[in-house]
Amino acid sequence: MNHLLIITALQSEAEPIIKQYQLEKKHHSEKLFYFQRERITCLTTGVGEKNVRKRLGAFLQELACSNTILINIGIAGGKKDSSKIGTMYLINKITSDKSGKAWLPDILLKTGIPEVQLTTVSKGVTDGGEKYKGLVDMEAAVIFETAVEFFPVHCLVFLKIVSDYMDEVLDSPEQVLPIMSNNLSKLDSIITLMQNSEIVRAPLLNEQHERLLTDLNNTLKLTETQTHQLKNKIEGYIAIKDDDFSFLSNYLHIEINSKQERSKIFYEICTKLSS
Amino acid sequence: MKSAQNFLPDFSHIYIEDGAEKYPLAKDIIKRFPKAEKIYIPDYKTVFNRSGQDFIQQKKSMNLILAVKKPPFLYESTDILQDAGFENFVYTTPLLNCLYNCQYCFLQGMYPSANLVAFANEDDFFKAARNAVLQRKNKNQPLVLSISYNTDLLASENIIPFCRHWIEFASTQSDILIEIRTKSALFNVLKNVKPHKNVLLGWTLSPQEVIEKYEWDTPPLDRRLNAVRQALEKGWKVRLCFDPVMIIPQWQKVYGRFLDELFEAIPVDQIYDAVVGVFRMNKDFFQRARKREPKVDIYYKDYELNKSVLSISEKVHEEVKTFMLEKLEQHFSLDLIDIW
Repeated sequence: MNHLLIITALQSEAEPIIKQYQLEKKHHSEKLFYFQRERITCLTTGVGEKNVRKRLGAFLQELACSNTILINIGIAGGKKDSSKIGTMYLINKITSDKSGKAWLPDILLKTGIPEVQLTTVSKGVTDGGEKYKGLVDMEAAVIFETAVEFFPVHCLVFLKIVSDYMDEVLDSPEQVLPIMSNNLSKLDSIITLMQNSEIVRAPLLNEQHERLLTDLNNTLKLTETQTHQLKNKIEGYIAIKDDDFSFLSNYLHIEINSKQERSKIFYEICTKLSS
Repeated sequence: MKSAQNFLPDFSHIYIEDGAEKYPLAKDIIKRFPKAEKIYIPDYKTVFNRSGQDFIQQKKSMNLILAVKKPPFLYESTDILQDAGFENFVYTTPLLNCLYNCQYCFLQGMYPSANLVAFANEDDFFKAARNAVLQRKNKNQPLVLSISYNTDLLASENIIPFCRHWIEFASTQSDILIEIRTKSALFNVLKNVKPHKNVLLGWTLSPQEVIEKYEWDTPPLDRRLNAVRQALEKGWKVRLCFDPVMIIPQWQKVYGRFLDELFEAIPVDQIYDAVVGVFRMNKDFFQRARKREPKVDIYYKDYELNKSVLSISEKVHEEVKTFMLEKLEQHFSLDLIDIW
């Protein structure tokens, strides 16, 4: 099952999710906390570019992202003629209002959620937002920019719920909580889809394989080239035959005293893996 | 192979580069996908060259990018492209990437994305082809133009009618021969197109064992043969391509049986010529392809490296040449067989 990292800007956006999945508070550092249970983690970044860069960046530095899907969910301003208050949208293009740069999530799975593009702005919009196409928020572009260093683009999902028509600032918990709560069932179906999809691929070598490879390198004192060759041979063995190469464990008890011994054993292992 | 549940169908999203939408071809394509999400982008590379794309996952739900090609429109032949002995050989890329997913193909490691890029400014390509005809080196031979090099153009014909347009173009020119190489069984899409001597349809054929193992998402052999027969009946020039001959266990036996059955199944005397090749791939593409799909055995065989191209050993290569030549000579004169 894939791990989901849910990112919100406001604590009130996260609250219904924390409650729904009974997430527990944990500390990443003294000042940075998050909520987690099993395969769901929820992090609140705070509003705006600066907060996202600081908190999300620090969090991702220490997260093992290999089988994780990041979902950014939160409220956004919408246009009266093309969006509906309370409706959840899947974002297919994010433009930074500040830099003009466009970010494009790779939407590969059937979610059934209507799609729209979004602009990330630096200040709340209250003039109707005529100049913007689609929705407007204050974090998505910088979340994408930060997260794409850690995740493949198809593992970045942006969900926005329209809270207003860009004619008022709406961010109090009393206003945000019901909007989020009303969309929990939709979010739950997306979480189920993402957790169980084949969208995250397992690497050819699992942790156990990698550990054995490391132990072999240490025991046999392999050179860098030999290490690379051995990894190559093991991958080939798994790809062509199967993943049981436990017979290599026998080599963990060998003592290597010379280059000649190392070469002999290395050659023997490679022959076995190639046979 | 395409079996993943919950993935969106191909072309659920169409990315449109600024300036591409005005071209008739782009309008035609967009009309064919009324339900697709249309996303406008400043440059096709914004989406095609994004970092962090997963080629293998994208193959399960390919999208289409409509773009405007900038020069050059034609490219000189490369070491790994078969020119069948023609001196004025060039290729062009109206479409980048392929609907198929052949594991031995250089496309597995060439581009950062599995999405298809269709260049909508066809007239610029045609203009470049006309110029190349005039400027070709050997005026005693036509300009030979491969239009299905970085793709399988005929396989995409229902979506993007490039073949029809190129055939219409070639039919109005002299001193040009365009090659459309394919594994497609979609010959019906050309049923109303008049065959022309300036167009060569080249079918890549492999034993069914090789198709199932490596030529993912392609039509089975019998359907390809059916397409070959239809093309011959209509009077098209047809080339048979055995490229690559894959070194699988008992490959001589497998390919021997395949060729015997093949020449029983088609009127071989009507075939224009035959080309043979072996597995070869640029080293960088090979490494990228292996990283992307490490479970394919092709990436763990012993190859020889020559001028940045990985291929089977010279010894096995010679065995393939000897074997294929012996089989093909029974049906073709030597000048109609090109072995790479």
